[in-house]
Amino acid sequence: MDVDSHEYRVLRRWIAQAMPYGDPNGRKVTSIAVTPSTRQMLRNSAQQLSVVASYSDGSTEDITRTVQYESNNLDMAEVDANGLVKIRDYAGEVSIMARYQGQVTVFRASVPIGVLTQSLPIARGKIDEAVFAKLTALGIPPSELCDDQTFLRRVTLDIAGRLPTLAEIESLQLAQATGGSPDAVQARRAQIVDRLLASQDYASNFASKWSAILRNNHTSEDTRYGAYAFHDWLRTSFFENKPINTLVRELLTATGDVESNPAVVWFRQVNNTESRIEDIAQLFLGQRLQCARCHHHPYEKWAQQDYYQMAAFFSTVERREGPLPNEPKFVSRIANASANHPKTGQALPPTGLDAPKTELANFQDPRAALADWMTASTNPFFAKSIANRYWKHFLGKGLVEPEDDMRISNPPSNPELLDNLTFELIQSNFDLKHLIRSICTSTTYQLSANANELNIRDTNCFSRYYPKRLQAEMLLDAIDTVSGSASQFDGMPPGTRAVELPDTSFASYFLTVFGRPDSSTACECERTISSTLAQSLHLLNSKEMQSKLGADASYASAWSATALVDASLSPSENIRKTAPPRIRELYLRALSRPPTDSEQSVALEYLMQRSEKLREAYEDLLWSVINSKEFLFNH
Amino acid sequence: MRSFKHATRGIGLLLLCIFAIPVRAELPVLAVDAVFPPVLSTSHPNTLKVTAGRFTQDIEQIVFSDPRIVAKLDESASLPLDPLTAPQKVYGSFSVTVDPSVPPGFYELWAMGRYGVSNSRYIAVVNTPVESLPASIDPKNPPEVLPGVCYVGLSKRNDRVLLRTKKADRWPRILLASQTIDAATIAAMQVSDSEGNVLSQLRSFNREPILFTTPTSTPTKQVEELRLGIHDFLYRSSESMYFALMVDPPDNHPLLTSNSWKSPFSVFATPVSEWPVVDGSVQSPASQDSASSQPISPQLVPSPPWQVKLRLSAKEPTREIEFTPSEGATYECEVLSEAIGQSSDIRVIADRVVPPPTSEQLVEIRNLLASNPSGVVADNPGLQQRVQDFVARSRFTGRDVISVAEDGLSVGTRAVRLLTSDPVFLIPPGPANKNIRLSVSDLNLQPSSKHSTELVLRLGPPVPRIHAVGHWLPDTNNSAQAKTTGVALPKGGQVAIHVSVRRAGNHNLPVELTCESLPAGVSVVPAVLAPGQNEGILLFFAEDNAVGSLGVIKPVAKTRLNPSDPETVIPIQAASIVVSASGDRGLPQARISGQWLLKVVDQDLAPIQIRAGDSPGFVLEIPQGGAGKLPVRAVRRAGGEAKGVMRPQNVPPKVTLGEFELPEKGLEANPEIKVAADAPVGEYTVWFSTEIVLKQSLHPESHSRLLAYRDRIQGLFADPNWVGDRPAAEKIIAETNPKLEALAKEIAPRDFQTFLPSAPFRLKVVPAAEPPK
Repeated sequence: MDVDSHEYRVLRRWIAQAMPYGDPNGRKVTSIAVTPSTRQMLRNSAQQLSVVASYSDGSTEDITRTVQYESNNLDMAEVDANGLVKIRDYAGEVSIMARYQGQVTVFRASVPIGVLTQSLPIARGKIDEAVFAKLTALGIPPSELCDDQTFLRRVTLDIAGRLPTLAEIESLQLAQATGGSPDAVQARRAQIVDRLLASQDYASNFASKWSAILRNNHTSEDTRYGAYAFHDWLRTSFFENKPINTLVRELLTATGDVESNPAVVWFRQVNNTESRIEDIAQLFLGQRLQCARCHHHPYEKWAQQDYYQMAAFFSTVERREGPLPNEPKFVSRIANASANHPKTGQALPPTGLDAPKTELANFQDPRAALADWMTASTNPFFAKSIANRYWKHFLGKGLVEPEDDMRISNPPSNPELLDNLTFELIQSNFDLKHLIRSICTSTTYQLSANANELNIRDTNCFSRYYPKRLQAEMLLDAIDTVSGSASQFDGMPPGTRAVELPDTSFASYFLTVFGRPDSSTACECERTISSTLAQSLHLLNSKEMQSKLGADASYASAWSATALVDASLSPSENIRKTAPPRIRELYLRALSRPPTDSEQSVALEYLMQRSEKLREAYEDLLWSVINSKEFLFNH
Repeated sequence: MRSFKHATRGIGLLLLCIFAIPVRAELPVLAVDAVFPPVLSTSHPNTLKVTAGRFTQDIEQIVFSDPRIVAKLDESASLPLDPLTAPQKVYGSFSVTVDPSVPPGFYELWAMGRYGVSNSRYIAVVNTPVESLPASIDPKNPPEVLPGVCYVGLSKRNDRVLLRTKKADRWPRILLASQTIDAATIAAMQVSDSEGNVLSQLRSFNREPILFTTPTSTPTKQVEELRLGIHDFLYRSSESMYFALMVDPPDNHPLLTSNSWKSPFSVFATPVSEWPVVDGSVQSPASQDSASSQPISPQLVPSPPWQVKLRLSAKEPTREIEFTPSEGATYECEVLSEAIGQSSDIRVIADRVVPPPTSEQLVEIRNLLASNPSGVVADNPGLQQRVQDFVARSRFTGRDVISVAEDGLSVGTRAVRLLTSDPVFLIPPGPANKNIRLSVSDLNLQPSSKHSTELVLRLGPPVPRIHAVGHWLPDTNNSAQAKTTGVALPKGGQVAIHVSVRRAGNHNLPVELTCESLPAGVSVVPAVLAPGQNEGILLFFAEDNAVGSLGVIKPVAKTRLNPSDPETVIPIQAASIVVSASGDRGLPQARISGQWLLKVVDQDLAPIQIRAGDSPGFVLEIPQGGAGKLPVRAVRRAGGEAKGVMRPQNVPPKVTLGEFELPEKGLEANPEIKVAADAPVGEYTVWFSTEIVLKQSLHPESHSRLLAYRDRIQGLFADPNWVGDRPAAEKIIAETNPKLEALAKEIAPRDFQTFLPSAPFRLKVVPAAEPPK
């Protein structure tokens, strides 16, 4: 604290007055407001903020110099203690948070590049309208539309969690004969999306995603059935396109044992009231309530009272003896639902965030009331949180980042887009396939990952597709597909893909090193898609990779064994005859595109040079493709 | 690297050996975990094999619950080179013929052999051909399954069983059954098109068979052929992981129903008084679209007694029934749901409520509330009250709740999973101007549940009644270890049935447990359950000279339903563990069996027999505040010399009887029983569970048979005239010797740590004598 600062003087005055207790009936801050609240600004410009507090007695006070400020993007803007915002030489959106006595408000600045965006791609709905409006406002020209093969690879990985098959690529090539008009392109891409959404692979991919953040795991034989059944419940729910509000209701109100109701496994895994309330708030409301467990949330309005009122919804959940000690039964016992405030000891009734008190009889399951409140179309958090989570899954970056920390002090990068997505989800009766279809058939999703001169620094306006490294399971499956050598997981039948595993407890060094979560928290952040040296080394020279490439079942083995088919020709001539279709097949499998002429000739030349050790040469070729960024990333 | 691998393997084997040592054994009693095929056909002869179980080597007979199903032990031609040309028995393998008059359905079978009679197993009878699926299937060319044939197969741990079937102009119905025929398989089936696009992913829940009718996912292309991938949900594999499959089964196909599988709860469903039936199919006016916390409207029914059949579903997870009680009447409300084969978790909330308004009053109230939402009518107190009552009816809070009843802890042992039962509770008399409303819901139903729950709600005056179910006492009461078990009563030995009695309708009189039909040379020690006691054992003794035989016994429970009534006799239903507990799936699974079978094993004399008291039915009388000595006697024979730890069971409250040790070779003990001054007066049945290590030999006959064969072959060499295939004979001897060595280890006396029940005795707690004045 600086000497002679406002805080210093307040504290000094209080000490000089013999440190009196505060008046419990004194006026309280009810809200704070910042002026201006939004503004378009130029690069390297400045803006002085003014903050006014409103009190419970109706009075107001200028608190500009007392407020604490914080920028959400220090690369773009900084703010000093007096509320002076300085914009740096970056274009985009930035928010400045101001907080005072538990109240929070935000100033949002948009900083355009200053270029007139002349030709925008076709907007195909509300998603594109919101994205392009922002790009226009900021003067960021979007990238071109990606080509069909790139789209196929991208959307197959995102929806089905796997690479496209040769049949799918060939089918696309046939469909391309229908023409290259924008409508024809859009129609065949929409068809691809529909086909993928109808597949079991879609269900497995999203079951895997949700299973991890719902902490599904088994540690011993007697918890295996529960883990498998829970995963199966998720997979069936996605396959049958159960509305997400129904799925969440079933999870929250799950009663009985795992045999009757696999969703109860969540209560087994998340085994106390505090963790349950924190998890569901984070997963389905985008709210991190953990702070409010012990004190007022520093960046949000949630107080301990809010936290324990939410916790009261789970206060009657009782664990009873089930088929096995580790497969208990969960019921809502007959009791008045309440949770005690840890400081005041007051029994708090179950109440949703910012919601009126819930009236319940002691025989009513408060979790049903929680589900009613949470999944109502009027709930301000639920649909928004789901929409944001799914947007991030497909576009690589949430409209709010992190996707499960949606607070007033962390506003969305494009609020209109988030509202549109939320509306879309609610209007479709919480139909996830509809939401995914809307996202994947939007022009925004189909933009190329190749940046242009002006959008290369864009990180949150979606002017281009942001490449993302394949998740651990997808990458292992992709390597298996390309090498022809399948991984085997203990206790699972051959051919089981990593993305199909019921939970994250299957031992695999590969999956661990590439960031598979261990399902110990509800945070998506447990899964890492960053690159590390260990990953690079593993791909470059690990025994696992060597054994995959060199396996008898690998393509390298098969191709080399059948390379020298014509005894009348020299080995090189034989390779010149047999290798090109195999090189093409490799590229199609791995990258969903044929090799370029130069790639083809370099590969062929290499194989011919090493005709005496052709199998090793093919292994090398596989190795080089697998280690390419184009393979490792979804782009 | 290679040596490292070998070393690892060696350590692995060593560890395997260490951990494979059984920590406990059990007395040899025949138990059958699987027979194959699990389905018999009336249209052709069947070969049936006992494929999994314990002590099954010498099975030589199978009996069925229908005498028209007959099994004949298979015989092979004589053994290779055996000079003895008589056919040889193939133990455990039978030719079964099913008389065409046997209707399709579920039947029970019991196997019999050297170690008694086995537990019951279900077998289905169909009137179509039955075909076994090949053990090895080429995934590229899976076999086609056709309508009109019942296929049987086994789950394969490392692979799915792949099949294909044609699709004509409609989707075929595909039935897959496993648990309904006592299999341990949790069946899962994936239905795909020929390109591998998944159309449906199905899994067995709660013993229900799987039935594919239409795809879950709409196919994008014309489908002409379906691929079926069948596996155990946990990818397990063993002989007891079997299934039966049929394409386009008729509607009355026995495998379509799971109701024939009678859980132990089903005893509660009979006998029940016949009460007038109320139509429960009337839909509530405000049916719910999903489970939520919103109130619903009750169905008005006449005053009890009555019974109503209700069906709860995801759309209507709660039903409400309302009636006007008779003045001063007490009612018993009973739900039968699990008892009728449902997998439910029923909750009933009973509350008192002001009767609903008449239709005219309703119009008046609704009109008023439409114009005046507060409902205040200061100038019309009667209307004001009606409005308040009407509003109160639709609220959850402020209800006058009489009772909230749930599935709860009931009688029985963990080993046969009598853990819960349907709700049953009393409704006391209440004010005359109030109705009673019952809200019935199934907590297992979820918004997306596809199944519905059926239940019978019975309401009437309390009718005293008892139900009794029992099972041959397994050597553990630990549900995680309980296995299938049959019964073997050695001469001079003892076996026991654990009996659980459920009392309802305020029944609180003594219940005598006994048995009405016994094989020659077998006696029973009746037990009396005092009021408040619900468990006891029935102990059967075989005389030392009893003749080996199989008998159908009829254990019964005798009681008076009311003090002035004549004695009522009800059968004690037999429950049988049919799927052993396992580490990956937990509890053993038990169901009701049609009859009790008891087999006296005449080859062996029991190594020990323990009696509590001087004679069968011994009564020890102790006054309140007093003490007494209980004579415990052991008859020991070879193999039964070890010390025994005696743990008293069913000790009444305020009575002290501690665990004690019967020393090695000890023949008697006299533990002291102390009765507290405030112990409740009554007659109680008490017994001991004796933990003791017994020594026995296994399969001496198998050893003798093989030894005799080996000797006969060896004898050939001594015959100077023999001109047979000498190398072949030498090979037979070389192959037989290791088997003999293995069997020799079996017949060497071996330790069995067992938990034997003692004979029960009656403890009579009598009032303390009046002190002299």
